[in-house]
Amino acid sequence: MKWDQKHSHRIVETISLLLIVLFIYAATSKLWDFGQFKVQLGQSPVLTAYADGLAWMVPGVEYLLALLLLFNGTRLAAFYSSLALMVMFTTYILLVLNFSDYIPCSCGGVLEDLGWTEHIVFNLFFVALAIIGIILLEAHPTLKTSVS
Amino acid sequence: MRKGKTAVKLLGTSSLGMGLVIFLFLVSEQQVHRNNAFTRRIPPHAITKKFDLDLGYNSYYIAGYDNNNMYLGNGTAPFHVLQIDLKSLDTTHIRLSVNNRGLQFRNVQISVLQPYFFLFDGTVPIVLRGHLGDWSIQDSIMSPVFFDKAIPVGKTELVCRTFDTDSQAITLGSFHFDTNALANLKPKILERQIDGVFDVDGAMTSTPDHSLLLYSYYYRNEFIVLDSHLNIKKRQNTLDTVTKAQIEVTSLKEGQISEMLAPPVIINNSSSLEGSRAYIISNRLGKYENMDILNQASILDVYDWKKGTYEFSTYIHKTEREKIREIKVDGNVLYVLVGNRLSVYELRH
Repeated sequence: MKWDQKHSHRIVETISLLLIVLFIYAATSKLWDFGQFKVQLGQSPVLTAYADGLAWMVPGVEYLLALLLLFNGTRLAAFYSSLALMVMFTTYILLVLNFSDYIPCSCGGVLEDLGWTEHIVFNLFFVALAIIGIILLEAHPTLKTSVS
Repeated sequence: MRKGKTAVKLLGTSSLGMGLVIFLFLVSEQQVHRNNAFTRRIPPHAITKKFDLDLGYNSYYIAGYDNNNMYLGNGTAPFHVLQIDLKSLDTTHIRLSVNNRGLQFRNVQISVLQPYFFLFDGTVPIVLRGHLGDWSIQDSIMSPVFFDKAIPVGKTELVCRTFDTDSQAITLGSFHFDTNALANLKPKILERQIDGVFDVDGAMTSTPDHSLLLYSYYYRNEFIVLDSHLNIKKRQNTLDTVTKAQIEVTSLKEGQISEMLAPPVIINNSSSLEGSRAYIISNRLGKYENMDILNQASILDVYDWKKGTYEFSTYIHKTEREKIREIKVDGNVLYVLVGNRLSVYELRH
């Protein structure tokens, strides 16, 4: 039991770390070129009406999640939120790819070079990570409060 | 127990995220396409398809006609012309011999007006001219203005769309091939609503004989019919109720570049003029029109500009991924460039 717990803990921390890196990178690259990001959001076929608010909200949420992932007490909630965020993003890509009038691009940094299919695989990888994290945390409630 | 609960929570979180995005998507789709303020008349069998001609590429545009042939230019192979015999449907591939290759061609367009073909690039800006059938360049001039669209309206005259530095807006004008005179700009034709650049954008086309011109705004419900001297024959509103371009333009801090802040609401797509009729492709749905139709077809609206009336509409079927790039009506024949093909229809009304 102890062995299992120890490893679970390590896995949970690794997943947190990966998600933190992803979110901080994503948010920073958006704020880096904020004007461009805002324009790209506005040009999106789904989000036009909400572009102004979203332009601040998306990086804001990403930073917040990165922060919450750091602490044991808030990690489970952060995993659920990360899952929701990644699912939303993936759904968005699928909708835009399949049902939209045209396909815009608005991904920052290295992700700009990813094709849409690679992008979906990339997203699903993080969705899977979040799910694994949640399952481990739910199965070992003690991890939530234990101090490493 | 515990496992079941986790699964429900996981599923719940995921569906919530998915549901939210799908909801937003549907709302925005509705806004873009639906306008319940007008109703179309769609008579049955207004057009019948005669045949499809596979062109092999999706980069062709219609350059013009002579008596028996249609000529297509190609955006990615600028010195290539495809000649289609409209009776036998034989196609001939033509390579134009252009000696001015040293020039920085960036936006080459070809337009055919019997007995000439014109090859121009408003970014150079240069106009070249040669005889149909011979396909070599005989004359060339540097244009007095830069332009992005042009239509020859006579042996020596072209109508063009250019940027007028006085009014800081896009303007129609004309210039002559055989004199060094300045271009004659007519800044009153296109009416500025927002920035005079994006908002006045539209499709410029002509009757097959180039005697009348049509300018249909992309972002508002209006088209203009002009004669070849750029006198306005008619300003007419289309079915749609969007009188003011719904676009937002922003300039990025770095550099002097303007960009559209939001996807524009496109009222009129490509258009064509023949006799008293103006034909306009629109993807805006009116009252009682099923949303699904836009996945299978584009809508062709027909207007009579001499009477100032809306006549009827019809659907041009296509697959979901395909886009109608250009339409042209000659007599009672409708040519549609869609995907890799040229579709030919007979107009029955």
